[in-house]
Amino acid sequence: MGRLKFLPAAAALAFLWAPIAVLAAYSFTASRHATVWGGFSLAWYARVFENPALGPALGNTLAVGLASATLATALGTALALSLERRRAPALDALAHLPLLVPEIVMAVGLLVLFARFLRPALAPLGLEFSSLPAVVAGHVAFQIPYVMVVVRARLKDLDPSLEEAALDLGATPAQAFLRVTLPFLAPAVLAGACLSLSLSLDDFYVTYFCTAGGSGFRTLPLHIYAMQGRAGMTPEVNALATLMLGASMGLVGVSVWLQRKSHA
Amino acid sequence: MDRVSLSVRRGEFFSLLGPSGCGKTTTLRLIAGFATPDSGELRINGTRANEVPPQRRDVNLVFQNYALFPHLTVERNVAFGLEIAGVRPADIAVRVRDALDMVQLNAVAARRPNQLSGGQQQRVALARALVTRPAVLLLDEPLGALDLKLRKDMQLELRALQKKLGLTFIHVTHDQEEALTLSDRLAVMHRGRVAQQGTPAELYERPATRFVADFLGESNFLEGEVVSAGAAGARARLDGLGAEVELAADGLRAGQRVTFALRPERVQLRTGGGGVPGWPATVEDVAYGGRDTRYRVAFLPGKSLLVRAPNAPRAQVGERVAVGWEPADLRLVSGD
Amino acid sequence: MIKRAAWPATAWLAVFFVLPIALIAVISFARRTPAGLDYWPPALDAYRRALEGVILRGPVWNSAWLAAATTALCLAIGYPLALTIARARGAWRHALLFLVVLPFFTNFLVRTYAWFILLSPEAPLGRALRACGVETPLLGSAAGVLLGLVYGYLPFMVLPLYASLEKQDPALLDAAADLGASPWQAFRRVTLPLSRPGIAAGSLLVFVPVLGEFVVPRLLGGGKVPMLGTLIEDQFLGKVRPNWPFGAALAVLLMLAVGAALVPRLRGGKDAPWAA
Repeated sequence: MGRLKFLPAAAALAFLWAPIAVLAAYSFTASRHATVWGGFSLAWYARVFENPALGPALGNTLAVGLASATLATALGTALALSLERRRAPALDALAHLPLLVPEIVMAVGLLVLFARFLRPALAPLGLEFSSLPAVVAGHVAFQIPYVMVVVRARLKDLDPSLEEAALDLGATPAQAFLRVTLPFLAPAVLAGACLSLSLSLDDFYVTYFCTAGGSGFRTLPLHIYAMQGRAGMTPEVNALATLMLGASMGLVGVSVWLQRKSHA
Repeated sequence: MDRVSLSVRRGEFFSLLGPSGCGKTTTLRLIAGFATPDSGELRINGTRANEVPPQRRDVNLVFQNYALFPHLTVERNVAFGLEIAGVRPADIAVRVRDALDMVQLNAVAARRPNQLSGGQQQRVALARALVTRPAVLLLDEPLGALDLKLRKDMQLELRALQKKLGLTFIHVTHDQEEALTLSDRLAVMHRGRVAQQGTPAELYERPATRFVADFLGESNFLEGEVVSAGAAGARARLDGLGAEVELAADGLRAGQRVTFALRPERVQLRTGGGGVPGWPATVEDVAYGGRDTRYRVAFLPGKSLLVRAPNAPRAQVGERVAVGWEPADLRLVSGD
Repeated sequence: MIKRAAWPATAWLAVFFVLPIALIAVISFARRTPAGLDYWPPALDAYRRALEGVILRGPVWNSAWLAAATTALCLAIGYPLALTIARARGAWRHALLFLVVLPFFTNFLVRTYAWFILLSPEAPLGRALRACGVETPLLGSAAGVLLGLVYGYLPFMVLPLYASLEKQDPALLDAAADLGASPWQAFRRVTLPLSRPGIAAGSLLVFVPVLGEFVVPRLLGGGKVPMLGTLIEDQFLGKVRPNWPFGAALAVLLMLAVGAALVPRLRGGKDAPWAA
């Protein structure tokens, strides 16, 4: 056996990383075709930075991500506290449901809700339900359960005698919550927020269906989807995709490093 | 819990002793305010405290697992109660330093609880509970998580601290030795009731119930029957021995079954074969215990007796010996 | 205070999760008329169409077998990986875990797009295959879609497997060896049975979303490998003849299928699918 037993794991890791390496390599091609190698060039990166459509797409992606993560973290944390402290089986089940329902079903449902019902209902009032709030609304809905699960896992580790100790030392219940419970939960709340943000940045289904109807609202994933498969697809897509990969890996790397540092 | 009636005096080290599930922790939580009695009254410093929430009781608790706030340093843990009470920051600093000095922990003031040893955590919990100068300090199995050597050291420290501060300590434990060495007075609890309360010497030497005699140290139990009872006193006959014992207790009637407790160290064991006064017995088991030797001797049919005797002369397994005791060492105990 | 803390989230989920799904269910019983959708009386036309042979043999069958095959392949590739990570020491374990998790945090669409390049006939892999005499291009084939699915969902299998393997006390293996078991027997009789919750959780996390997948078949299938997801999308956003009731009925059937896959785990009570 010896080294041989590491072979399957090494092969699995190679499988995970090879496509990423190939994509990165093909972002440096000098060819006009995204899938053809034609020597080394940085021209497509220059094209990415010059593309006027990408600025708004990046802005939209970040706006949706930050807004939805903030909302979902607040709502999900409150939900976690409530469900952990009193039994509510029906609500408990409902709160887990979005984790189990296929995302496409929820996405199609949101399309129907916005396109067929909310927008027509609001139009006579002179109100417009634009794409940004629609996408945020959808993202928050699928992020809430993740935040709730993460925060509840931490709440389960909360020794009830900690709050009792605070009361025993003279704190009111509100003071005990703010000074003991909340700081204890802080890492989980932060983790929930990061998870929400990465789910939002990664999302395609909900965004795609919530913006259907040609409003022109685009996030980066939508942009890539629209670019690829088109005739005459250039390596600009590769460069943009590589930049996105690099950015999210860099973010994860930094957050892991920060976490390590705070634990040391 | 049922009909628990206790009174603890000011400045006293009082222990609640009993096996797990006997209600001692519940009693402590009632005093701290984390549980409310269905009936009855709780008085702290002479005033009724049933309805006072925990944060307004002048009573602090040292939790069994210490319940130190993991996100705060040792210093901030100790400062917590003072900060809540709105003490001036300058005063807080002084009082926290004094409290940490008292438990010899100023060197680790800036650390987090998870960077401390068990003994250190224990002392932080103590400092945190004492720094607000409560009228009563409650301790829930405070030494339970420590290893034996450390526990012995902490017992002495705890006792010295209590004497120095003159505070009332109420201490819950299942360790009978700890309760005996630490307490001014203690109560043994059994099945949600107080079986007996008094000084350690009273409880050990004059146990009132079979449970107390068995739980505090070791006891042999001998059964008997009251043969005569009158104004002058009563007499009982021990089963299988025929010997009669004078009883000081009243309220007994002839024919009633009684139980006597007999401490192993009060049993005299005589070697040397026939002709020695006492009841004949055969040594079944010998265990050398350092200070003395423990014997199990077959005594009456189906009944053996625990004996603790000096290490010399040593009897051998199978040896015929004689056992005896002073009548005053037989303590009449109630059945449960 | 705590009681009311659940309200905002509950309201949000009610409007943006429960209501949309309820609307889908309602629309699935509607009938298409030239004037628009006719909701009353409820009709079963959409369901009848969804259960036609063409649909069952095409997209439904593709979704079912691709989901099953993806789950099996993810398990086959992911188990050794998870085991190696769980048995690695300190720094190695962290490094390996990091290498598995990192792609997981990058955009799914981008990762799938990477396969688009890798599988294209001009790329090295395609050329190598042609050199070996394989003429069928991977892009636009079920095999290509399967590869992309396995790739996209592998971390969903590895993480729960790792979580359950990591919890196992290494002393158990020593005990098995002490009692005479060979390493393989110890694996077969101790490690594997103890990791069953992880296998179940991982399989569910792969199988369920693959059933509704539409990005991978769109990008890598090139329209030649229709799945439930692509069919549903066609009904709502397709360029030709969208059919909402039909798409809604397919979505409802997809939810029912997922529910059926969950039943064995829900029965476990404590062992709810999200417990792992």
